[in-house]
Amino acid sequence: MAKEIAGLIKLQIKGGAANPSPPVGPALGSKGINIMEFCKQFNARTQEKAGKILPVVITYYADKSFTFVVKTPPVAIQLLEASKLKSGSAEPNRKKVAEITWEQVKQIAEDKMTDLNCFTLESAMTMVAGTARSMGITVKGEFPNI
Amino acid sequence: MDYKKVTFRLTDTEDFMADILAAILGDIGFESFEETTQGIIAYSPAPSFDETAMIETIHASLPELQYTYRIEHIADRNWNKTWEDNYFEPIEIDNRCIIHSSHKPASKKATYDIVINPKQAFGTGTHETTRMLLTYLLEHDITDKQVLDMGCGTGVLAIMASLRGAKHIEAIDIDSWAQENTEENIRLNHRTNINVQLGDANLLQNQSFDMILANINRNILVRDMQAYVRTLAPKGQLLMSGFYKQDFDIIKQKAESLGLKQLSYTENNDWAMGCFEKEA
Repeated sequence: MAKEIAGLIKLQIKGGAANPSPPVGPALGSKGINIMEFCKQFNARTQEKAGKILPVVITYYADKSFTFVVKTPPVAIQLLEASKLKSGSAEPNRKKVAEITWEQVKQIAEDKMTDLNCFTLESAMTMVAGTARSMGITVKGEFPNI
Repeated sequence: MDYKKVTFRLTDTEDFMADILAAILGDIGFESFEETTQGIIAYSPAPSFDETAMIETIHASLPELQYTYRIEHIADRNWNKTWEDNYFEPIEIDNRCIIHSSHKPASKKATYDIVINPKQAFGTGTHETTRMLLTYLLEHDITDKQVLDMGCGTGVLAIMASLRGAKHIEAIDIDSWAQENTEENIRLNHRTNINVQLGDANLLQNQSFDMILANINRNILVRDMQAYVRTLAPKGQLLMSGFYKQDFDIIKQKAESLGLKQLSYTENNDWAMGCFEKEA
């Protein structure tokens, strides 16, 4: 029989740096979950992305066990890094603050595919490009053949 | 450590602004975030929190962001207490050792009965990596050895090494909860040959160990391995765990580049442990 789910917690934690302090401590500790066990697993799984802010969704069960899924960094953050910007444009339609290439859009889309619930790479790329435009980032060139 | 909880409410902005704000705050010492429907809640260690710097950074990076915020102080406490007091069940290792808290006595006798009252420190025997290291200590002769427990957590490995006849154990951890907790657990188990220090690999000066136990994580192990090797006696052993089996090659490569020879490899539920030896 499937285990009874007691709840879900969504956090963003730096890779390799989970510790029992807030918000992890209060969020999990109050439920009777062993926080140290979560930190050990999260940190071991995210050594490759140490220091990057990673969304994590934690499911906890009635028997005090838990599972969690680490997602890739948010699209907006990846776009910022790709375009080497400090921030998005406050007036997206007038000030074009930065540019990225379709190749970069494709890389982010590939990375985010599973989180975006897109069936095709094209639809994921269209979604990423849409976020880029609303942030004031211009996508250069033509949509590539995939 | 005390923390500052800053609740941001964003107005008139796109959803992704909360992500960008988190990235900016992450660069100035905020550690983790909670998404809310109206913005984000950001957490920073209290000692490094600087409200003026926070406002200036947001203004410089997102000059037109419309937001309000509220700061709360969260005092340090043991967030893991509910689990420790209620759900930490006695653990049996290798039919010879039982680890339990004073809340839940062991139901049977064992050669090594270890009392651990964990206080937000790692190492209760519930985790695979701890169990692999404890099993190694049970299966090998460590009589009269000088042992170092790096990243001691609850002190469980140091206590086991003491029970197994080690001459002296240095136990080091970077976390003050772990340092205090190791000292408490040493007293609970009446050990007199363990010295506890707060700090990191920089403490390893002018000492020589026959065995080093390091249950930490891949990146720290790779970063500090040279310091461990320097403090290891000829033919001394370095036992490392705290990483998944797919990361073992990185650990092994680093160890071999420092002249260590692999003696053994163990895995349990995807977690790995490697034992390496320094040349004579």
